[in-house]
Amino acid sequence: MKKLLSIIATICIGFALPAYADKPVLNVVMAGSPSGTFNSFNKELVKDLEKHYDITTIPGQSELKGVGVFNKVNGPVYVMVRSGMLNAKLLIKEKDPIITNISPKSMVMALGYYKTFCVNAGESVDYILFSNNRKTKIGFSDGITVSTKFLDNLNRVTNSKNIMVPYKGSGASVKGVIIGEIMGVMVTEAKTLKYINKGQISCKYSTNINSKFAISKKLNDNWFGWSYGNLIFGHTRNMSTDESTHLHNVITEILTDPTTNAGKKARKNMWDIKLVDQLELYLLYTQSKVDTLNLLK
Amino acid sequence: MSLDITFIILGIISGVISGMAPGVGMAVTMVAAYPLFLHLEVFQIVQFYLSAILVSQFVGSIVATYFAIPGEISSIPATEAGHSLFKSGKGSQAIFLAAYGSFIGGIVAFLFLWMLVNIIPNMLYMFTTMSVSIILCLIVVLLFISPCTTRLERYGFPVLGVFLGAIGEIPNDDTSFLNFGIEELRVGIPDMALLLGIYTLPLLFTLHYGEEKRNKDLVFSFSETVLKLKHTILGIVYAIYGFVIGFIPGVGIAVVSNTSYAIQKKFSKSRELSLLSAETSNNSASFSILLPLLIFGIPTSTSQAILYNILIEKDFAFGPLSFTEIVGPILYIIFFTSIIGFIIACPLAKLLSYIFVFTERYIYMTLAVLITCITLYIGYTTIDLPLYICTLIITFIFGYYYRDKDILRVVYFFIITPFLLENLHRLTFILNI
Repeated sequence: MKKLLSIIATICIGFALPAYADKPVLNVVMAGSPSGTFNSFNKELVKDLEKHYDITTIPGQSELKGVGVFNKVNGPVYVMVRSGMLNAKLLIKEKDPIITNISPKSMVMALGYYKTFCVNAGESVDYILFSNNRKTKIGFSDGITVSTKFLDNLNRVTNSKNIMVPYKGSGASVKGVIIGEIMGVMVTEAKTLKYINKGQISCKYSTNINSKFAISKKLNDNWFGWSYGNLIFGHTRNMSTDESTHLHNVITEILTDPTTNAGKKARKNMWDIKLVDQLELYLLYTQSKVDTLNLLK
Repeated sequence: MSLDITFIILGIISGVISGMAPGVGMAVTMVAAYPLFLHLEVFQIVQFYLSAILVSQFVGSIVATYFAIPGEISSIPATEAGHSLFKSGKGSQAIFLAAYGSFIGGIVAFLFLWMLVNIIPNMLYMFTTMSVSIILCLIVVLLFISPCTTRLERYGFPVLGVFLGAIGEIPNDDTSFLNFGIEELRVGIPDMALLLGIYTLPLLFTLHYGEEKRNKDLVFSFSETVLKLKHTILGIVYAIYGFVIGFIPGVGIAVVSNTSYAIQKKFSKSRELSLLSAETSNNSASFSILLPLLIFGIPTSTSQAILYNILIEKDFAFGPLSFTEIVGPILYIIFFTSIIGFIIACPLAKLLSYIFVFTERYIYMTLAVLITCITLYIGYTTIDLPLYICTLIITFIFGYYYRDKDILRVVYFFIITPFLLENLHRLTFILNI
């Protein structure tokens, strides 16, 4: 009942009351599906940021939609999005970038995450995905272009004719393995834990080059895509250099501390927190874009 | 899923409104509650929906019996048999039997589901892209061949729905498609604005300006009711019939209700038994019709399509595994709403009808204004107000112009298209076409 009343109250007073607080104002666009991994992390980050800012969260529904909202908000605004990958994908298709005017001063955060190969519990990842002359259906959820590249290279290395099967999300692709619709899946590490714990899938090998079971080491192939890391970036708009730097410092402090809400969540998601300055964040963004372009070439 | 009584009560209230107010069916209820859903958890939405649809089936027979107005097509038997009983001085018996039949229907649905609990997880292996695609295509074919008065309704509306639904993100990808270079359409047309403009507002306007004088001479007394063993036996038989037939995707409650009524009329001329057969079967079917959605993720009606859309946005993974997690509370809700529904549709029927008679003229306009304000507020908060306003105006003009047609065909195809495209697209890869 409390929740319902708070929703009604928010809707009723949303138009009427001007925001007033001593803390600086910050709009946070939740660019992700409402119950997705990105949004659940953003919710935790907002809890921590509220100690420093007067936060207004804006629903974004998806990455694409969220960036659209981010580009239209008046006033200081922050969004977390895979800008390097998305902008590169659009560039390949000769379309306008999804997020523009990116510079070191507008970058405040970077997180990396990796993919792992999984098969039905009891099956062997080595046999199903990495043995030669196979014709296995393998699920992906990163969009057609990126997934096709991974599969083409896997087929090249293993001399196989594996078939790519696209899914809308990681959860759906893992379910595809469980019901036997596909034999293997390449999926975000954080998404696998629940199913591994239930004994439904087995996972091995990662795109993380530092992992004991790095795919690049297993395949003994120099294609750079085997260690392609997905990077998520925090971007700002309508903020001065000082304001942006301050936000970068605050977020860095939050993520450095493993006891904060966002710090805990990032570690639980097995995300690689990039504790670097804004210039290096920009370089990471550029690198992510170039890597994706190379991947898609 | 944990039980949240607040949302069950809200669902019951919504079910009463949707059942009592003619034309305000579950589709309108879902559109009206859409903004609320954006802030709720999956289990709260499911509880709301289940309570609302089950109670609306109980309540629909009240207005059908007293005022001869079928709230939905499934209430047509109650209008014929129930109202003729009312006019012949057996109003109390008609109200009682309709409520009792619905209660039996709810209890049979409860028992069926309870028996199915252990079987459902094994159904996971039926939940493949292939089977889902086939079922969806069958539903689409069924809808195409279902009777329509004009070619526009039969072919034009579904094609328009598919076209509108295809605008936005490419299936299984994260880039946009068919957005005509309009940045705002990158993720598609806003559902809420479209549903409101094309269907809900034209309907509420039509209902508001078409109001009639209602009979205020209503009766109900338990002393005038009779319950015989044959009522219970017949109720169980038709509840099983309703549950089994309702489970077939694409059939719908209206078909179940009207076929039960027709079958019973062939066996007996008793209006009481005909009324009982229709009310029992439509209540058990109102639950079993949900199973294809909850187990396989296949929406088979417009209100389900709206529910599906909301749950997908909340990342709910449709399938037996997820269903197993929510089945316990669902059993509780069926049992609880069957009892509450009986109380509302029997001893409280007269009171509710009086309230309806005195408030009817305000209900539709209040709903219209409230939903429009909330929709525009959502557009404002998502920095998409111009798109929301444009969608609302254009679709309202279209919906109002075609208000006498079956506009829900556009809505259903609009919502189902992204899901259908996603599955068919994946199927081409699985079949290596």
